[in-house]
Amino acid sequence: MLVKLDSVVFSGLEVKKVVVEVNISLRGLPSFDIVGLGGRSVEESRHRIKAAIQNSGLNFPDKKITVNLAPADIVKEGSFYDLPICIGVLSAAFKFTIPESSLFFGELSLDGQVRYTRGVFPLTIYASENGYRRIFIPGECVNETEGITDRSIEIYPVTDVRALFRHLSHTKKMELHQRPISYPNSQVGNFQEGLTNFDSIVGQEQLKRALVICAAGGHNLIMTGPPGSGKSMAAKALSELLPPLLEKESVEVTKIYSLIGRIPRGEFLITKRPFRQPHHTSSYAGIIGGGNSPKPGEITLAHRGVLFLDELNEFNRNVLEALRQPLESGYVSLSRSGGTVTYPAGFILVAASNPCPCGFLGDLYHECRCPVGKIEQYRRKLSGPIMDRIDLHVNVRPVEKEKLGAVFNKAFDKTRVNLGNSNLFRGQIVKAREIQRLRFEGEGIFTNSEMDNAQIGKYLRMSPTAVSLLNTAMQRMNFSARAYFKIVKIARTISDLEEKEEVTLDHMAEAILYRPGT
Amino acid sequence: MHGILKAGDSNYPSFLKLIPDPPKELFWKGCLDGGLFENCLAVVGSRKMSPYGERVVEYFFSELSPKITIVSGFMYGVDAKAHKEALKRGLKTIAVLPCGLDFVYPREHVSLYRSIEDSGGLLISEYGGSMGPRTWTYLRRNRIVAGLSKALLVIEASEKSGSLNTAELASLYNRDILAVPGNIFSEVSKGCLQLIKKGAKSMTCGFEINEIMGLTSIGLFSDKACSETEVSKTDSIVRTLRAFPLTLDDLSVFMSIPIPILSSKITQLCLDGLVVEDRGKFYAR
Repeated sequence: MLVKLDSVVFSGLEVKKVVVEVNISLRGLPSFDIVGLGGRSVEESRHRIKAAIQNSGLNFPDKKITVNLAPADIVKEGSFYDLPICIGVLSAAFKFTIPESSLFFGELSLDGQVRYTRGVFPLTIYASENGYRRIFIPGECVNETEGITDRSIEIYPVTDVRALFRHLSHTKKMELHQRPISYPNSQVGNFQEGLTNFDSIVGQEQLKRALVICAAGGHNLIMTGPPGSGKSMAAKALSELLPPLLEKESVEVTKIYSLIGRIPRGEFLITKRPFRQPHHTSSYAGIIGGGNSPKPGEITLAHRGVLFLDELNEFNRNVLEALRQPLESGYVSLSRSGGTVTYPAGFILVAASNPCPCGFLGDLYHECRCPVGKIEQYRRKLSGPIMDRIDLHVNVRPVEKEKLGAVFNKAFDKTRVNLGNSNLFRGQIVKAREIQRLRFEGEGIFTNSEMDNAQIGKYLRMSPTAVSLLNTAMQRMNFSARAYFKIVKIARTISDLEEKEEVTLDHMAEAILYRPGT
Repeated sequence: MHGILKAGDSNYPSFLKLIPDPPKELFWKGCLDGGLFENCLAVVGSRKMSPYGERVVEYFFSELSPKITIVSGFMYGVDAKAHKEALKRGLKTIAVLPCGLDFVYPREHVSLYRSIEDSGGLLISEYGGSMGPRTWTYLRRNRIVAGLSKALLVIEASEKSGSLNTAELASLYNRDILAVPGNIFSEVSKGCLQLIKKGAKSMTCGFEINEIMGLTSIGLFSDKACSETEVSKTDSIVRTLRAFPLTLDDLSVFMSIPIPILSSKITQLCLDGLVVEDRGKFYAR
């Protein structure tokens, strides 16, 4: 008796079809074998399936059972083959038919319960895009399917093997998952409450301005300054300034987080931009992604959000160098002998660095005791190519203690009034992002920082004075060609913040300030 | 060209003969011309030079007599700036190395090394070959820098620095000690101020140095006084920064200009060369 049913295999975020074939042979000694390049977790699934069937009050067939996962030349990892294999075995033994156009997915527990399984969200999208009519998924993961707009697909939350067996053998129908007709709007499109970090930065108006530009255009940022100058706080403040994810972006991020099993229970779409802060001792694989069957690293988890690297100089040299390609392209390709996996990695890099090994170079209250040669060496660790790829460079100084006094606070308030308060910033950022979204409709990008050179040529209008200023700067400050394009993109964002069509002299001049002179 | 100067040679620098322990041999590279050792001015100072120091070097050197030879130690900061500025202004320059003559240290200075060698300057050292520098060779080198020179100018120096050691040696050899007064709060001005308190002559322009070295030409001195002549532009930002260097934040508060507008103004001033940035602070030039 041969039974075929559909499941999937994940390769990065890509989902491919896998056919699970179960054959029960009437001849031969009782055995249970799984072939088709199953990994460790697939090998072990035999034991879970056998126990789950027995503990569900059913008889495990004492026959020669062969399971094939086709295509047989792709390595399959994951515990979610438990459910399709189990149903295949039951179907072959008890002779019930599998409904057409169904997908099965889920890990079994020994008592027959179906457990939480990673990857339901990308699976559901795959099912909907490929015309499947019904999917059988773990009951615990049902929230993850609610982000799918396709209402025609039937979603069966499976709690245990026995219930599914009854459903398929038409003894007792299972309840179809009832999804809300529309999303509760509150979850999409709202800012986080309160701007605590941003508001508590005293002074540092230049840094705040850089944060606003960074949030508006999705530009990378490096802050250099002595300890205690508020670099980490600024990074957190940035994540508060960032507008919520657009629907398309939200789907991308949710796919990643579903695949690693990190969707909070009860939620269906991730709407908040991720903020990742890996420690500088993190391994190469941990940050870039890796392993035998490559897992996503921090740069992928920070997709559409912020990757904050504190103490940038302390990171492993090869980790920093490996950041170059994703910074440029927005994705990372990890090649193994078994094939290439591509993960999205479109993050905003926010880095903080000390000016010298002791950290006090340029500090007012502490003397720097580093030899000049050491300082040079320290700076050289951040190679030109990496620094060149960071758009905004800001020097941060600790707030002078005397300035925390009342008089100065008044003065600070004055400038803040000139600039507008934090809500105004958010308003500006949202507007600037909206301008960008409309501009790049159909281009497949969302922000100015993602523009390629062709798009820059297409969308950038600069006043003649701005062009001549940029040319002067190129000559005087010996900028690279990449720096040229970075400056232009920042200038575009600055003019978007002012809702201007054209990049003017002032926008260009401000943009140039954020490049380090060479 | 290269060669060795022996203590008995006729072209061995006469000032150097006067110190208690003159080097027996001097290895040299570059252009050994007759008048090179006659009017030597040692220019020394901190490796961590501030933009103020840079400005001083540029300003002083623009007024120095072309007869003067600039002697320095080929280190980071003031030394390198002095060599470069001398080459730029067409002054003769001598770099005294703390290591073997063929050893380029610091490595970043390869191009400076070449340009001194190729454009009429001179590189000298007590040591030949490719011996690396040691802690003690710096101190030995300082005695040659001081010994070669009629006068020694300290641009910027912190307390307990090598520059002060050179100054001490120079005063031991009865040479003129000149120091540039600086901001009393600046780490790299403390050494200079200390020297001035002890009796060093404080210098405020290049002509004063010419005079001390006996090279004054009256005509030059009369119309170009030691005051701020260059850049009399009435830009209020430049005027403020000339009074005290500030960060962009402080400048914004001080002048009540919002950051976006100020950022744009300051970039234009930087590009015009009126303002320079150093680690977040802006300085008027």
